[in-house]
Amino acid sequence: MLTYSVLQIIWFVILGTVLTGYVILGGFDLGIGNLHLFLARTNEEKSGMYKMIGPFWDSNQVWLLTTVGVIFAAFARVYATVFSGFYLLVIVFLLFIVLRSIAIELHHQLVNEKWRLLWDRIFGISSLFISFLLGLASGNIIRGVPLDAKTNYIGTFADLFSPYTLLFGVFVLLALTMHGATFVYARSGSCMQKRVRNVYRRLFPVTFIVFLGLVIWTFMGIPRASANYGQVSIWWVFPVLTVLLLVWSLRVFKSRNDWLPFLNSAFLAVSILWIFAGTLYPNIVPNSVNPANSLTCFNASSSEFALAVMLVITLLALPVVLFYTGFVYRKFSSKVFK
Amino acid sequence: MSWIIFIFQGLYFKKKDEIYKKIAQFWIKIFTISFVTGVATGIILEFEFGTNWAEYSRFVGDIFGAPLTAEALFAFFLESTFIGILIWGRKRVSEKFYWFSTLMVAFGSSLSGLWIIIANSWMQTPAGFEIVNGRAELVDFYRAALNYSTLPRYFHTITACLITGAFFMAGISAYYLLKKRHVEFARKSLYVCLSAALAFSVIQGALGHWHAQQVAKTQPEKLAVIEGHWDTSTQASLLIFGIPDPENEITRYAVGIPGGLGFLAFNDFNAEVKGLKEFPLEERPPVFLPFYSFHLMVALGGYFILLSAVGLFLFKRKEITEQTGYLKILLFSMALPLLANELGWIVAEVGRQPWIVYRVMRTAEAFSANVSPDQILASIIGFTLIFSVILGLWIFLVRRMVLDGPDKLHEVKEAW
Repeated sequence: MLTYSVLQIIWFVILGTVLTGYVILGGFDLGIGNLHLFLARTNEEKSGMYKMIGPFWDSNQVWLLTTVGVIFAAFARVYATVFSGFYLLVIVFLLFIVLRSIAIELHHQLVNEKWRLLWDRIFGISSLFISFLLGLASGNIIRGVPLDAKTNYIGTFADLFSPYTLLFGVFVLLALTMHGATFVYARSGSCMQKRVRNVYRRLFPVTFIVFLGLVIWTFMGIPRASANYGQVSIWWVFPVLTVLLLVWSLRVFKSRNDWLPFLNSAFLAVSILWIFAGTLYPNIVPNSVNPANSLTCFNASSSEFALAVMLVITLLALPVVLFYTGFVYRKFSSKVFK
Repeated sequence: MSWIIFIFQGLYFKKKDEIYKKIAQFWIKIFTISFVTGVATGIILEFEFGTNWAEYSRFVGDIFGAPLTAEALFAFFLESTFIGILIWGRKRVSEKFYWFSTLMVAFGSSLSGLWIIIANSWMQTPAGFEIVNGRAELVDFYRAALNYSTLPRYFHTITACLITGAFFMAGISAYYLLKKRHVEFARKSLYVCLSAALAFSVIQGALGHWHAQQVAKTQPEKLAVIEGHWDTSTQASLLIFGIPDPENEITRYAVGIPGGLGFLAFNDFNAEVKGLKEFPLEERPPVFLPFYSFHLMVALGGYFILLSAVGLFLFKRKEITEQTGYLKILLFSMALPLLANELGWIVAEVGRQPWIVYRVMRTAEAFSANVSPDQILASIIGFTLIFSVILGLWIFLVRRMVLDGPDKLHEVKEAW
């Protein structure tokens, strides 16, 4: 039988998994929003970029909602602490999410020149901010946040912005933009393909250096971060995988299969996300004031019975979701530009 | 709307009449734009329990988070995936599969409604839990999910949505008939919508009654408040008219049917109905808002039955296009079901006060202690502004689609 602590670990993994789902799927449409600001030249190219994500972006965003739902259902104390603690950040994030959704949908409804310009700006700028804020929030969690005895956040809004968290924001922004580029590469015909590949190649060294800096800063600056990597453990899979994938990414555009770069990028997203998850586990929200009073997957979880019930629900639902998501992606996998 | 569109598409397959395809296509346009507006604005709810109701979330997460996650997993994915096909895939999938996609969107929306009502009903009539270490822990999933109020409230709200959709569509059809545009289209559309409106409004009467009986049994204060009933009594009368006066704890100018309340609530004229004075002052809900909301809602419910019945009667006499008076009333009644829905929610939520979880947790204990009032004010202002703009855009777009009419659909230029 599954013991309580095994269930809690399983839910830590499920949380990471649904978040990975959002980073891979929601991430590429955010990245396309960022790219859209400077990559598209003609009106046709601009509209084409909306079309690439048209049938997908809404269900991609559901991965974000699922992540939030999982945090609530499995780790309600984390849900309460993080969203009330990062209040203004969350509100701004949500405003951009709302604006972006409206811009994507109304782009093909209100089509004259002035409206289009407005939708293009909102789509691009809100994608930029959402990508950046996701990184900023992640940076804060990984660095640890000040919590009082009742695990309420006691920092200020300004405390959320530090050199480390800002750098984290920049990294996520760059990485998602590159991830979006691989999707554009797969779905645009020859005219845009070359340009987007060049964008990817130009961003690659910058992003790589930022990533390297971030990793060094994390492991040198945050003592807790290396706890899981101090000995031989399962966590070492992810750094090794990341290195292999990075080597592969150097040659991935040479393949005749246009979807390989996206695949490579998606795997990179998984492995990088889990490297950082490894710096946290078993913490979910480390407490920078009193580390002993951090929120972990063991002290912040729902009851054993609730976790078991939710596990059954999730195992019933996820395969079905993956099945029809896969089906729709296959239906709409063709090139947008001929 | 999605269910009614599904019916129209079904009629097309059954009767092989192109007009039904056109009808379905027109309403899908209006439906999808409304749907995505709902998606965009609805997302914040998933976060709001954490941002603004942190203490509540800590207390109920064990139970309350599960239906929200299940909603995302079972319903949101289904709706959002198949709405993509409705918007983008008309030429990519077969007609039958397109029909199936409408079904999936309708089914997904209804499922989404079920999970959110499960969550909210647990706040009304909590069950299947025990309090351990200062939080509510799940002990019985079925009792928590299908608590006393889940089913009556679910069918009541879903039927309300169907009525809302039917009258909204009927109103637009009436507009065309008034302007003598797209007459054939509008006649057929109106007939189906009015039939649906009548059927659902009548059913709603029975469902409302069922729900009220459940409230009488499980939330007596709420019943007392919506009926302006102060003194516990047998043969309690059912108010036809009255003005409650909370200061003196009486309802003035009361006109009622003796025994009516007991009969409606408990099937017995002589049943004892608890009055509001029975409950300590600090556990009573506010009186005015639920009282007036409830009565106005019931009146609107009656009006919907009457309105749709008259319409179908006129149809039978084959004069509908000439009945400009009736069509005008129908047009102006288009948004009234929305009002009735809001009133119903006011009754449900204000009538539960001062509790956030009925008799378990007070609303005053539930909010985020570390979020300052000016942050909350700022967020309310921000969302109000943006949501108002979105409402304006939605009205503008729907109006434009209606003016353009079903012949000139704003086709998405498909690039494939």
